[in-house]
Amino acid sequence: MRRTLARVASLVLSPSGMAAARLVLPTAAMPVPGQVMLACRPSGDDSLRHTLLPIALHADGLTALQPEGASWQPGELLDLLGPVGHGFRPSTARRRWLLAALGVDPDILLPLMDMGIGRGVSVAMWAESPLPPLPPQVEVPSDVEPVLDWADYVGLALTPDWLDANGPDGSILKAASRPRLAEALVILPIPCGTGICGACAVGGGRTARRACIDGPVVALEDLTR
Amino acid sequence: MNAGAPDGPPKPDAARDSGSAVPALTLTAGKRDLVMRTPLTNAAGFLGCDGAARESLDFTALGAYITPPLSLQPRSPSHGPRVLTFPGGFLLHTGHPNRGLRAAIRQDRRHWADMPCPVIAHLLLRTSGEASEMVRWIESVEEVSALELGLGEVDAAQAAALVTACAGELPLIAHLPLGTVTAVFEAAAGAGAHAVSIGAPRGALPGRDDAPVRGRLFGPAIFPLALQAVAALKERLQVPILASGGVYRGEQATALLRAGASAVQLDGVLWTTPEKVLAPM
Repeated sequence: MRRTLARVASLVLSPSGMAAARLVLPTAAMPVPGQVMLACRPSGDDSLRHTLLPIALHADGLTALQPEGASWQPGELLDLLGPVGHGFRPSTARRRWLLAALGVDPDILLPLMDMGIGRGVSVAMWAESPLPPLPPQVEVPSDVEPVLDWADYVGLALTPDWLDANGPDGSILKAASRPRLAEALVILPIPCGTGICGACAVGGGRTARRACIDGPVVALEDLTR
Repeated sequence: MNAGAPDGPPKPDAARDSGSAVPALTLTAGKRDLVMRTPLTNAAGFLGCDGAARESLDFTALGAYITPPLSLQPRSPSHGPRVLTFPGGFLLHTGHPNRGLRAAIRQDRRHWADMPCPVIAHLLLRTSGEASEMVRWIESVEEVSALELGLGEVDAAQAAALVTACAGELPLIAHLPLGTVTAVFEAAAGAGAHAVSIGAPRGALPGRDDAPVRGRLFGPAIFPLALQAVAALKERLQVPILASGGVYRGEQATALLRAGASAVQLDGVLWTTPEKVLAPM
């Protein structure tokens, strides 16, 4: 993990209509789907880094949702730390992917969707909120249950709040945690990015994982056991 | 903790000239001394000591390295929101998760031995009995040069009792939150603390369903309170003061030192732009 400077190329709307920023950064600093970056202004005016959630990866940078409280402008430089932690790691043997956004903006899963399309696998996408326009090869089921039976890989994005509200026995999680590869991107603030502060702990007790070191993508079984 | 400036070597703003041969702070106890060559340290819980941490920050710029808060028994993360922001700062409510003192000694001792600066162990204290047991363990670790005693929100009698329980071979730094009344600092010093350190003030912000979340406050908004506290404590205390709170620029560290602090602990800036404070060696 390293620090690098990125430039805000433009402010855009995400496919779901959320405020986002197109950043230009060195290819060596590019995250993989599921990894996040931590951003602050290099002037030293920010008290904490913002957690950047990429929604598209480009040859020369990425587009990320504009974090709450950030008011970046085109042309501005950002000090990025990252990529942080581990991203999604679907095996190449998995050919039927279900991506589900649980209580979070589905745009967050678009880089994983692009990875699946790039691999030529079958991709279905489901969200609790309306989905943005998606490529024609992506299936959009009206009901998630049958697709859970079909999928041999499940990639989720959720928040600790969603987990607390729905519990580890929530129907989707329970079905998704059947023996198969299922991973979850846990969306939460990551203050230090180095594992020292403990603020991004996922799960509880001695099995707690740190999103910045062990995540932010964790095995679903780590959330449901 | 990412000290190297992005895409280039650090270009510090310099807290003050720290290249002097005169130590910034010396604390002497029974068998071991703490000698800080520079007046800057990390605040407990803001900097790790493993290889990744060492690669990303020039530890020679620090006068001492302070371990994360260590409790006698392992502690799990707190439930609910752990980070909340407000204009000018942020609140942390982590529960101080850690592996416990003995595991930390086992796992981190080799890193402490490699440090280019003295190591101060930060102990989370609850009772005098626990405090005595922790000090017995840590005094056997020769890589540790001093103890910072996390006293929490205590009254004067409790502070004195905890400090007394820790008396031994190592210099003691009584760590109390900003906003603690002066009498508690005085009680800690009177009980044998060789120095005091001012920690993050406590506060609360609305969390889920607007229920208040209590925690420690950090960020530039804290700096005016820290500066005032140092000036006030300096008039009343005979022991050195290690200050912290909202230091995000070199000139803020300098102001705390000029107000009477013997050293300055860095917190949130270590996670953003540490080169704005850390002085070149």
